[in-house]
Amino acid sequence: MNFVSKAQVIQIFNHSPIIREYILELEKERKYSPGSFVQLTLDLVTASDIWPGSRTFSIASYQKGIMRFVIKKVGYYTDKIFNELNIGNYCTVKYPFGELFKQNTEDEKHVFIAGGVGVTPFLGLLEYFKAINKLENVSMLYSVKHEADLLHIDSTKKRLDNRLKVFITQEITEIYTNRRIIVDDINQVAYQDSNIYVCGSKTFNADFISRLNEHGYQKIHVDEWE
Amino acid sequence: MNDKELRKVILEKTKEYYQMKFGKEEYSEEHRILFGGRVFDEKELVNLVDASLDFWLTAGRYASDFEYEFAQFMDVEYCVLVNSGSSANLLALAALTSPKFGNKRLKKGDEVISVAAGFPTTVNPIVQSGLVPVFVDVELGTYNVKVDELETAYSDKTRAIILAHTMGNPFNVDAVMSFVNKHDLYLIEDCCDAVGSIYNGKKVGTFGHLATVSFYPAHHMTMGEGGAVLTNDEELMRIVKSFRDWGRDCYCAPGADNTCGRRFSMQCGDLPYGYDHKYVYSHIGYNLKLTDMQAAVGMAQLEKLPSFIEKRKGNFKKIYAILEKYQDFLLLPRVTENSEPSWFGFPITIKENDKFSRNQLNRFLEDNRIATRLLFAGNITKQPAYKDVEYRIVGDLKNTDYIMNNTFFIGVYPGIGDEQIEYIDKVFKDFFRKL
Repeated sequence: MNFVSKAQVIQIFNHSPIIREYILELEKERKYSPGSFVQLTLDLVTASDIWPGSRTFSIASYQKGIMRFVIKKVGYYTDKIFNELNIGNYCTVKYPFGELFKQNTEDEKHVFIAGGVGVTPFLGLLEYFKAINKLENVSMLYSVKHEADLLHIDSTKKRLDNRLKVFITQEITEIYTNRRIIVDDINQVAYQDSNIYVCGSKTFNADFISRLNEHGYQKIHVDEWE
Repeated sequence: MNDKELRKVILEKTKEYYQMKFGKEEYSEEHRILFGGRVFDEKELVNLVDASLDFWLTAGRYASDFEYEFAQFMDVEYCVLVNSGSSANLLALAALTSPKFGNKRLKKGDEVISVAAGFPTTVNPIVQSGLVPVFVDVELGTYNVKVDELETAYSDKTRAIILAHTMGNPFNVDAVMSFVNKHDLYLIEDCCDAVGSIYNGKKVGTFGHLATVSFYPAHHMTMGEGGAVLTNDEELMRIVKSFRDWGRDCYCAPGADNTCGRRFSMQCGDLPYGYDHKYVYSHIGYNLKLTDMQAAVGMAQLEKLPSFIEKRKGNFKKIYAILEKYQDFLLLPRVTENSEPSWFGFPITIKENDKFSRNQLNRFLEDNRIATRLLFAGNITKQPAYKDVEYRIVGDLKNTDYIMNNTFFIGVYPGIGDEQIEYIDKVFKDFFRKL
């Protein structure tokens, strides 16, 4: 089931000049699936209107009508969102979409591979695994260009401890691994039957899918949107 | 005046119209006492007009709200609206044939256990999916499956069970679930006549893999035409929606395009790369959606549903008290153990006697403007449509045949008030006085 709701911006965090985290309060509190995504339009419409221009964003968390997601400014519509969607403004959201995470697999092993803001759906999934006390089944490999690009890194470290490995690709840091994620990194935390989730840019996803396939991993999950 | 203000005026006028057209109906003995029917006030009419002014026509804002609210009411995760209870049964059964289930999918020739004393569209989807119905006898009194015959019905081809909670009286869920779990079967609960019935403290429709409901006017609440498939399983919900929406792979809502942003960049089956995802079909589906106008009526009915259920229970008790004294002739309904039925009707079976037949009593009631209905198909295997259908019968269906010849029901629906109940009492007294 997908729901359409009017939403008001109640908080904005500027992580960088091009990465912003929005917190919205939804008029209609409905169900959410961890790992799912939302469509956001600046127009005020209902489910009985032609759906106007919109963009798709992974949901970082959703509780009691408060939805949080991260937007990277990459083009015309995200520019428009940055310019027009400020605290107190209204927009319309349609959710949840996507099939990234399958129910009833919580007891299996899960490995999240995140590139940049692609970490967003994993934040929601970590929240879910924490709520059901099964965080021990999750490992995460998180890659960004610069240390400043890391989102919610403290809370993620707290949740995953040594099951989180961070990679910084365009900067030398002292505490993180300063290179790209390679398949050996995945082999260290995943079994052949582990669920492996990849979320990053189009090339990031395509590259990992092909490498994971070559290494015989069967359960590869990718966010089904661009 | 702008469009919003004009809409407000129209909706106010609609309330006035309701009062003039429907607001002053009073019962007299000249009226027929129906077995079921719509019970509504101005809210249904206002919602209907409101949805029609949207002119969205297909499923829209009311349908979206209804799916959420009804799932909450039924204590399930997901509700998928369809255009009838029969469509709901068709989709529930079809979903189990999805290739997405691999070896667990139902395949041609597999057997599905059901009962022959019921409504045809509980059974028809089995036949339409190339599966074989296996009919088990029912109990007199509860009119539900004889659970001690389930093991006899089981074969190495048995894959699923589809059963209705007959007349709102839950079947023996404990026994059925234990059989289902033992043999790793699918269970579909047909709750078309049982919205609000409780078994062991839980609502019916929450036990099986899938459940179905109907919103036809005779049912617990109405949209005119309408129904729903219920499930707690997200994957089943998606598959049901796919079968409902032409069998398509794409999950865009009506009027929406490219929700996933990959409309032209996917590889599906043997189609050329980038074939428009809106026209990719992963199931042999149908179009069984409803309109937002139906859902709008449903939203107003849903508010009344708890009171409708209470009224049905109350009417059942009153009619039971009236008929208790005729138990030498009439077999009255027996509530399934550990359950609280939300009754669809009041089933009555004529005991063997040399004074009158069911048809004589039915004719007398009908002549006196009390509507009667049979327990649907009676013994479905005796129906003309089933002449050439492949099925398997377990035992002799002795009770099913008895029901076909001797059972009928009268209404308990919320449109029946105390005056009608008094009249029913009077008519039954007249009948038995004349014996």
